[in-house]
Amino acid sequence: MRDDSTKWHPALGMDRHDIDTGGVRISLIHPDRMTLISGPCNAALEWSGIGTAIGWPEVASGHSYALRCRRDQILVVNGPDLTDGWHADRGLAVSDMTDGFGVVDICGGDALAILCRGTEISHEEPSRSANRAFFGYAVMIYAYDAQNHFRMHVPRQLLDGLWSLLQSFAQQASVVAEMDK
Amino acid sequence: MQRFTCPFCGLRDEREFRFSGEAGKTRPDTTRDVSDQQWRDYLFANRNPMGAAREVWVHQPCQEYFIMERDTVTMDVIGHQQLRKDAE
Amino acid sequence: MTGTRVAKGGLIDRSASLNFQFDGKSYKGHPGDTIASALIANGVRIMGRSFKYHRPRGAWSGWFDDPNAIFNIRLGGDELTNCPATTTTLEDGMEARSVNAFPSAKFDIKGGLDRFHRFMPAGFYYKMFMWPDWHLFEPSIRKMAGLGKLDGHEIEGYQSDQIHDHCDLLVVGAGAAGLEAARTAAKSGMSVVLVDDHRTAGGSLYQMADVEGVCPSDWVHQALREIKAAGGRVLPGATAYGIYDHRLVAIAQERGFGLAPLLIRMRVGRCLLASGALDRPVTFADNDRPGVMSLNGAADLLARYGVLVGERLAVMAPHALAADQVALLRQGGASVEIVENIEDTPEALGGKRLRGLRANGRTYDCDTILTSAGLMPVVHLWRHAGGKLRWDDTMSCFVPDSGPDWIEAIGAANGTFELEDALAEAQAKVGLSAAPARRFAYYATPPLPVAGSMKRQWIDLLHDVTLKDIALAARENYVSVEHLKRYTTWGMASDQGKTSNVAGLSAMAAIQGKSIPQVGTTTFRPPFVPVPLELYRGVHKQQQNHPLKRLALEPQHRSAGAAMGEYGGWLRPGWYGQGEPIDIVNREVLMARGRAGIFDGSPLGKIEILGPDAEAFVNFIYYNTIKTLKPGFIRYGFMLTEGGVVYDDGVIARVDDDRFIISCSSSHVDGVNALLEGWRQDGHDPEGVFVHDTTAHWSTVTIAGPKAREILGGLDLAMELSAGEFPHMGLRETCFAGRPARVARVSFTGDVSFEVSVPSSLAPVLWDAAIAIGARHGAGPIGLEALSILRAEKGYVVIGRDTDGETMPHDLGFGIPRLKKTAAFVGDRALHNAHASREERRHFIGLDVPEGSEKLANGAHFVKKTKDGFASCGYVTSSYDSPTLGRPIALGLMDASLAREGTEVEVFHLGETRRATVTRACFFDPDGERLNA
Repeated sequence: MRDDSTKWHPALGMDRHDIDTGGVRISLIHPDRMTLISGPCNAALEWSGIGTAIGWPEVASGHSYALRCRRDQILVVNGPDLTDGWHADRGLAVSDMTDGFGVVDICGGDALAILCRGTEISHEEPSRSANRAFFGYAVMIYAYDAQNHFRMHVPRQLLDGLWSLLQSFAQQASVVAEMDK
Repeated sequence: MQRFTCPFCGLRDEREFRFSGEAGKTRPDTTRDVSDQQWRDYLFANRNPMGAAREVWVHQPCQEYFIMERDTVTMDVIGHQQLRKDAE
Repeated sequence: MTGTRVAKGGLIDRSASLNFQFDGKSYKGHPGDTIASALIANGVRIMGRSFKYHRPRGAWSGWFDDPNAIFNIRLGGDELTNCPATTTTLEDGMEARSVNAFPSAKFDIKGGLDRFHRFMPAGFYYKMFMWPDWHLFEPSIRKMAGLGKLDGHEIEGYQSDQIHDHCDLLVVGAGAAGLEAARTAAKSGMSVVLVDDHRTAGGSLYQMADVEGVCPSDWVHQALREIKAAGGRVLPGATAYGIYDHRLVAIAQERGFGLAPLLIRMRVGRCLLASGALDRPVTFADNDRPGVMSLNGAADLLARYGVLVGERLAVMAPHALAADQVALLRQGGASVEIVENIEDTPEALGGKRLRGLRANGRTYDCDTILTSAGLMPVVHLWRHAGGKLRWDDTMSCFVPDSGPDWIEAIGAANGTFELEDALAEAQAKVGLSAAPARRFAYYATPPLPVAGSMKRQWIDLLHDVTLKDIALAARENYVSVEHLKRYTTWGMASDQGKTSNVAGLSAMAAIQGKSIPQVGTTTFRPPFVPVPLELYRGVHKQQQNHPLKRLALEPQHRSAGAAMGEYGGWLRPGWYGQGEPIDIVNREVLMARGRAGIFDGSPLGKIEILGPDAEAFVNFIYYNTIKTLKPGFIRYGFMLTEGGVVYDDGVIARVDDDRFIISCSSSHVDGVNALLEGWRQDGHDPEGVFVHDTTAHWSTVTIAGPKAREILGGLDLAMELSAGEFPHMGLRETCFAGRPARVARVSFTGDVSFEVSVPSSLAPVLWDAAIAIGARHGAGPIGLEALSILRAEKGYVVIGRDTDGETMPHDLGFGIPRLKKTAAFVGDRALHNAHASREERRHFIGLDVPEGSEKLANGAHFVKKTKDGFASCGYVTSSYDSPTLGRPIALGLMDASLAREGTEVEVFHLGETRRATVTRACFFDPDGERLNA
């Protein structure tokens, strides 16, 4: 029976301050909806009205897009409102995961350097899936909108651990950028 | 750190993968008679070759189960084989 | 005379001056110096005391092959231990202290130990100091072993940054060959990274008068310019210290004193090793004296730092390139005598102050002895990569032989010691062509070490291993090179045998009448040079070692004064409020029994199984029959391993014909998910069933107790709550605040209990509402500790606590599926083997203690007497003081023969034996009236 309350920093809320080092800005974003769909990928995309499911290093853009998780699974961001369950007519399984992920936006000159601290990732090695291990955290990483701009989805319960890690990486990256000047 | 090729995701860090067992083992039909020996062999008997080995691995980020052939002495990856049909 | 700074030359900045101290005395140096070069320039020769015998030692060379000059260095309040002085860049204000010496390297009180060297040969600690008991001597010997002392103070901000990187070609070493290779490769369009452990590239080029017609500095600068212009990257102060599987090269880049190095994990397409070569020492009598140095080291010190190591030099260097280095030293102002054709065992004369060399029957008057038995390619990284070595008889050294196709050695590292040969070879190898034939024929004729001198001849300076020790090892039959190494500790110190490796092999070969390749070599392993442990840690510390999963309701728990702790990988409330924890917990239990307890059950798994084959799938996964479960109902069940052992328990709910929700225990969610996915793909048709882990999306507030229904009613969930409409083990879907919600009537406490699940962003609203309504009924939040007691009162098992690695479902009282279920399921066959079917298995039982007794200890064993003493018949798995019952209760696993209600058993713990009585594993409401209310 131990009270470790003081050993762990209180979890930050969903409206936390951005991390801004000048070399990168890291913020939490809140999609209106996230939906996990399993089954034939093309059928899932058609039903959601989205053209393609992003892996790496394709660039997602706009309000609605889809991420390729597995051979037979996508995550739709800001897609249509679908009912949870098995849809026999389409052969697709649906689960609302809107509250299941923390979504982290990473933007700036140091952004790729931060990713390279957590995993071996490069534009020269494409991958069909956005799913990756980042310093041991199971996340989705993808390019969003522009160069030096990425997003990361993490299971909600590990958002605080990941956030604290990204903070360390951002500080390290800005130190290296300074020293290399 | 080694790198392995997931049939779906491509080349990734070894820490994304987990060994799942020796390839080629079929679960006996337990609705029929299965001898103690058959069950024991299914659970525990492994060839453990020195050199080329065929193994079932899972790439945890995408949960793809596949067969990897590796050299257990040199750590070379000889090849891989996907088990899933392409659900494109 | 000892070392001096010559008037001109070197890469140092003579316009600026740096102050530093060594062993309490003050000195000056220049930017660009290492702390060792600055000391030598100041005439300091004695820089330390040897490990075992405390003999005075000076620097052997100017870079990483020096085994002697090891300092503790203090700067700006930070102290680093065991810094190699020859590779530590001098910074203003440094205070250095020799290690293993007191009060100073020059005057060490333990210097007298050397007189007893006969009692301390290799392995002496296995033979001497054994009687009467070696433990008596061990503490003192341990205190004397080791080098520098740690001051125990943590350097703030000392954290390694670790980054992944990649390139087409990594060139290790920016000497002539490395620069040429990097330039050729970068210009051809490859992505090239060039690393050098020096802050200034150039290697041994500075020893030459000119390189291709220009001065060395200009040549180096031009090469670097061209490399960078072509897009190549150059990393100074970066040591490639290890090669790992699948072409991964580890590089440590220094950042300055007091700052941890940067770790670069470089994944390479190809690697060219231009790591150069070292001097092999000549073995002779008293060859460890201060002033005995490497010829190449002396040339390097002069070329890079403008430091002349002595005035009158005697040189023993029977190899083809020694003459060039001798010429350089003469130009620097030294007078040099060359000792040719060594026929006997030479001997250094003088102790702390070298005064001469006796060789070939005459005495050479000198203050410094420079030796080189030949050049040795630096092949460590080649060996890490699995490359083989070949002994070259003409060159008397090991050179790279066959190896992996992605890595090659060039230049001196490949035995190509002459400049033009090295440049041609570098260009050819970049283009994957064979190198042209060498024009320069290098050779070396090292004198063989001859035993029998009265004075000792050193082989390994860092570990004080002498030729006599090698001979001792041979006499005691430790002739295998692996035994020789470990028996004498030759090559095992922090220099990894850089200077002692070949000397030792040569000695053993001479003793045994074998050739060096016949003796063999030991394995080279990373790190190539010592690196701080911090390099491997980086951000793997504190929270990141084991980041706990956090609840969406954590802010609410903290505001309510919860004591937070780790439970199954999550940070969860143990109890609420200030005060004596056990009193608070007991109050929470009584409140839950009397009114209701409200707790955060969010970590419970919510894994959905969807698809036309969902029913068949879950029926296979579970021990219990699930296919008869109807929509809207929930069943308790076990998941087994294929060995028949209980892996997890939980409840499974059927939402629809083709939709189930598995609510496994919170600590097992990831494991259950992996297990399900494994069976889905490797044993079933993955197109017929899908597994969705929605645990994170849903948060669960559980209300349990006699007042639970009333509290739930206040939440406005638009559903029927009466016992008839909503029986125990039922599931209802509804809405909360406009979003989908689920209510499961499942109990972990044994009272009426409702688990309300809502999307996690709504959890605070739900929780606050439940707490507010609950307060009106005298109910409130309860934590994990109270929950543990409540469930134990009902005899509800916690898998992994009340079960062990052998517990099968029939041991827990759930025997029916084992006998009746006909469909296949995971673990089925194992439940019927001899072990599973034997009588004397351990059963899950409850225990009462005599009135007024203390509760039993967790883990206490039930014992029976045997002729030899006691035998264990099981043990206590859970034990509490039950506030509800006002007495202790316990659960355990007990051998079947004893596990009958009413049996009295002996319980043994920490030397004490007590009595307890076996009872049913359920102390509260055994008929389930409260549960089904």
